[in-house]
Amino acid sequence: MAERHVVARTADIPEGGRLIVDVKGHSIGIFHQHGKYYALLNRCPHLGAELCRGDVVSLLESERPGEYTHDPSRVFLACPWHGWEFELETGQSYVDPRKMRVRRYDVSTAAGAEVNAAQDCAEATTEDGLTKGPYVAESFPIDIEDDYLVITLGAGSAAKRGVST
Amino acid sequence: MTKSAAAGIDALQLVEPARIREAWDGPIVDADVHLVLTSLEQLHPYMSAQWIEFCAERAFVEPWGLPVAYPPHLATTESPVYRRAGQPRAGTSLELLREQVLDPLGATHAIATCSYGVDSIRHPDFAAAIASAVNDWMIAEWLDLEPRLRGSIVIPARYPDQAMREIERVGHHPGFVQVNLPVRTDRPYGNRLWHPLFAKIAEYDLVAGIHWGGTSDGPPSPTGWPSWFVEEYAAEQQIFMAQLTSLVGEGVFQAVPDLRVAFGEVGFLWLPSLMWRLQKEWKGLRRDIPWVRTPPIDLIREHVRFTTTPLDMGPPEEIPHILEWIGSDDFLMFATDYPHGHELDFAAFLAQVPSTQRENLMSATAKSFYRLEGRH
Repeated sequence: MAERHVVARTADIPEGGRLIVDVKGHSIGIFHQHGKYYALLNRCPHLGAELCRGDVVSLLESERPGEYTHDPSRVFLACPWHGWEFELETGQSYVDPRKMRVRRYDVSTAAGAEVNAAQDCAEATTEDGLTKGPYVAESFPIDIEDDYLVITLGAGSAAKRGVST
Repeated sequence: MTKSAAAGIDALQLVEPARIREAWDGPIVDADVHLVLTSLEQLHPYMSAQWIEFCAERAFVEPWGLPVAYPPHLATTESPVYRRAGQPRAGTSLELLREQVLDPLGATHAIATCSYGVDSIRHPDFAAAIASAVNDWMIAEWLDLEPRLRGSIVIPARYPDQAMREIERVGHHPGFVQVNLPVRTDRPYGNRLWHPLFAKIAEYDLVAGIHWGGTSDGPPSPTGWPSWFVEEYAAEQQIFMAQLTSLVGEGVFQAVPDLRVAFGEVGFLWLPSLMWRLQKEWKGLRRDIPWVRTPPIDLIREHVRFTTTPLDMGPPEEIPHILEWIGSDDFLMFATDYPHGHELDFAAFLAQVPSTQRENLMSATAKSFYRLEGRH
């Protein structure tokens, strides 16, 4: 059964800020970007680093040398250990080192995240041509109820846990 | 008794091409043979009176970069097995090339370069004139006479604009399949200075052949001058590493998506570790070079090929691992590097290559990469 936990006041996380909270033993990072809140498990699916301590960066792409596409509306979290970028919105990693091998791995563990963010993910991939990486950081939907951020830990796979307020 | 054991000591008396023919009875393309110019006078028929007089006025004998890259009498320049008392140097005539390598090898094709050290000439117009003379000499005295032979265009490598003009001048000749780019340069090949040259090479459907040689302003090591040639030659891969890293990092393969690059005369066993490292760092630092959207290992496997010689082989039984690490069976191109003297262990290497990869290695990869059955 879903458990609802009040984790912070909205005022605790100003625009551009973040807060790492502990919810029943789960370290979870909550980010406030462009008026929206995002929650990711504070654990990089690559080697377990505290992902949510990483730099928040915006999408930087290029079609050819010297031509840049910089899109601040797309926000990524760069893991503090290896710099791999995970999109805050979906938890999807980009920059795929070993396409074939990891995609199989991806499918089985990312099913929950796909439920949460499948549409965004699919559209984003075709739009910008980024290759999905092998890993998906666990993300939690957040709801704002009045002035509180509430996170929901659901039963079943971690990726299905939600955050509400 | 095995074939190689039966050959025994006698095999050592054979010139390398014959030994290779013994070890492989399928089609062969030799992806790197050298045409040797020994005197400037050989180029006079292809030079204007102005430049002939220019040389006479200054007693210009040859580009100084030639003996730097290839000290004349060293075995790595002219293998003793090819020397004949009282005969011209190996590689100096089509007859010798046929007799010493094409025929004993039974090669269907050979890709030739002429390392005349043109890159060391700083006079931009003289460098262009000498490059043109070498190319016209190659066409008239080699390519037009020997249908098995394909050539590499010599360019005034310090001057991309002049180099592009030379490609425009001779690039459509069906005998040319490659542009010879000396590995030592003042600026690495990924630099945007070079992108138009690579675009020109691709436009003419030629291969960019990055090959041992060149005379940059800097030393042939990243950390100062070696004292002896052996240091320079044995550790040459550090320059090739720098060039490959530069090509990948600076986005040449995005700027010129259909570019084909051959690395020649450097060996290849060092490649997997560089590929792994590039891949690893790119994953975390890709924002430095956002144009690199394809993983570096995939880029290299798609755009780059290596000739086999000199073979930097250790214990032969380790070869299958290296091939697995390279991760593509369409990547290596057999080469004798005639008349340079190298190991006599190619047959030992070949014995370790999975049988399914041998035809690619010995001929098919080069045939397809160099479009030996016709360019576009």
